[in-house]
Amino acid sequence: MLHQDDSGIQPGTMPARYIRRAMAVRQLDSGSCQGCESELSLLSGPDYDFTRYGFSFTPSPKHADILVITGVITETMAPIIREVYEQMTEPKRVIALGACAISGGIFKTAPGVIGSLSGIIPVTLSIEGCPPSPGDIIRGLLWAVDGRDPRLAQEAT
Amino acid sequence: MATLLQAQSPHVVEQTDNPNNWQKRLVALRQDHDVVLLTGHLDQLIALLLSPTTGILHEWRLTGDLSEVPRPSHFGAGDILAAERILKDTLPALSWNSEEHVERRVHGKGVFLYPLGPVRADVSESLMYRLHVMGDEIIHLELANGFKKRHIRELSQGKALADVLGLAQRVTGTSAFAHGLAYCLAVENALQIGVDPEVTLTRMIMAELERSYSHLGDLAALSVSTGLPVPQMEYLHHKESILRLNFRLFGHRYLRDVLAIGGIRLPKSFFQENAAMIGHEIVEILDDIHRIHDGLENTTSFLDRLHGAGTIPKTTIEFVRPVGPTGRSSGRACDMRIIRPYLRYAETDLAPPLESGADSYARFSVKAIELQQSLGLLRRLIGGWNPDALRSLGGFEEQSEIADDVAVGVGIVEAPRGLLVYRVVVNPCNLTIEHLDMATPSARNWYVVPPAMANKNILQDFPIIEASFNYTVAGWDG
Repeated sequence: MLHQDDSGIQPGTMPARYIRRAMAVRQLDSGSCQGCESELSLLSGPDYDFTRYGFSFTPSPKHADILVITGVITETMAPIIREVYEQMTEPKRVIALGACAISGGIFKTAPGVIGSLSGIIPVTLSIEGCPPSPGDIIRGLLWAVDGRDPRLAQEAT
Repeated sequence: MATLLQAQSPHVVEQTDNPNNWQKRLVALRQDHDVVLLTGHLDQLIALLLSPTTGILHEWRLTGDLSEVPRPSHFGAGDILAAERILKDTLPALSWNSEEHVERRVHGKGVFLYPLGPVRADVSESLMYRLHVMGDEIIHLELANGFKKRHIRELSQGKALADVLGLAQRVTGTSAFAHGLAYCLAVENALQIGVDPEVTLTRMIMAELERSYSHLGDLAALSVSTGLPVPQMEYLHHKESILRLNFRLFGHRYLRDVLAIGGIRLPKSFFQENAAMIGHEIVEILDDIHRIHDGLENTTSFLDRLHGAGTIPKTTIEFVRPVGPTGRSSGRACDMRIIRPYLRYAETDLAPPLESGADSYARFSVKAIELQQSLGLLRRLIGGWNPDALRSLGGFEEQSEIADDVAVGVGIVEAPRGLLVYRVVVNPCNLTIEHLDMATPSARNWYVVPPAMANKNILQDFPIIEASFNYTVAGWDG
């Protein structure tokens, strides 16, 4: 059954090997307005509390299972993004968070801006919004881990 | 009933073509003024100075040959350090006659460099810290920014007025409304557009909602930096409550896409809420904030970490003249809502807190009290708010009656982090932006962080001091 979807989450090609829970998330800002960061920091707040799904933020890319990129990709940050991606161990997921990381958003044409994240590293999933709401972010995180929409999984049970 | 046209404080314009005279007079003016903006367009270098006592804006221009201009920061005007660097790239005609101030290097036995960034901490913006430590003590800090420049000033050139409003609201996420408002005030000032009092009241409600959630986020970050997750969770919960209130009232959690030049853009679902209920919710949040604040004020493990940590040296306060909560916690009365009232702040009896400790505790205290004042003000504003009146109001019709080639306007607001200035040059015929410049509170205030950090603090104080400032890198990089 096709699922009516208005959340703006676009799954890319999912890696064949799925990973299980207890996931460390590394956030990387490549030119954001700090709005996505504000929403991400609310994930550890009591209203969303993403630790109950097994997620936590990690300061180190080496510990990270999921890389979340916020903001437009600037020329200065592009090599740093590649470096961080390489430092992560397999299996790994990459999430493009927000309109800027997905396509460059309204900063697409700015000088010194490369544009979309998918040209830099492989993107598992993108979450639209300016900024995406914490609920959408959690749904996207679960989707990136399980390979399917958590809403569909809920309907199936 | 307020008048339709907002009363503007006077604006004095003077100019010279001699770089040395420009510099001398700038230094003289700075004795009783603050430099709020340094910008340049074509063959002009413009310093905007604001008197903190009278609110009079002084525009001091240098025209003609802009090569070999004395660098104001060499003569003690550190308010515009960020602007000096930006102008070097954006104004090709300008060349400073002295080298940029280079950070001292620290050498010696036992001195270690602790590099931190641009990928650092849990959820953070990209910024590079170079901490020089001797044992545990931080003896020197260098900051390297510019990883995430979006070049918003250049990007806005030649764009339509409404498109630039979208850009302005994306300079800093947690000050999105303040940026949009400063831009709207600047354009309204340039094109002499009157704004309905009901619209100004609604804008004021949004400005205070934004200050509330921004301060709540700062206080949550400060609580967790001292290892206290309980107040952090409580503050985060209230931040989320305000963000949800924003969404219910105005259709966007960060109040984006609500502003319009000359008015506001009403979302389709606008206001199906009961004003009395919202007032009640705000009172509940306010009561709980009092309780959390009292709890923290009685927690010695929290207070011990804050008192004396990250004290800004007196010379730095005079050099940079920090704005916003940082300024008010360093003994500077610098609230634009009082100095140069905009919207309808002149009708309120706002008395912002003033502390002189200049340390992390003073910054905590000022933010906590400002938050309470904002919520109190919100409660009163919502009581007298008539949102139904907004439905019948039109915005700015896409034409202007100004016959000149260019119209210049300035918008000054008190953003959650402090003084925010926009200066726009508008083409009134086709209604596009010819030139835009802004001075964000973060760009100015980041320069107090290195001296405050290297002031008898140890590495363990670093996250606390960082959280007590909580500036944005997005606003600095631009």
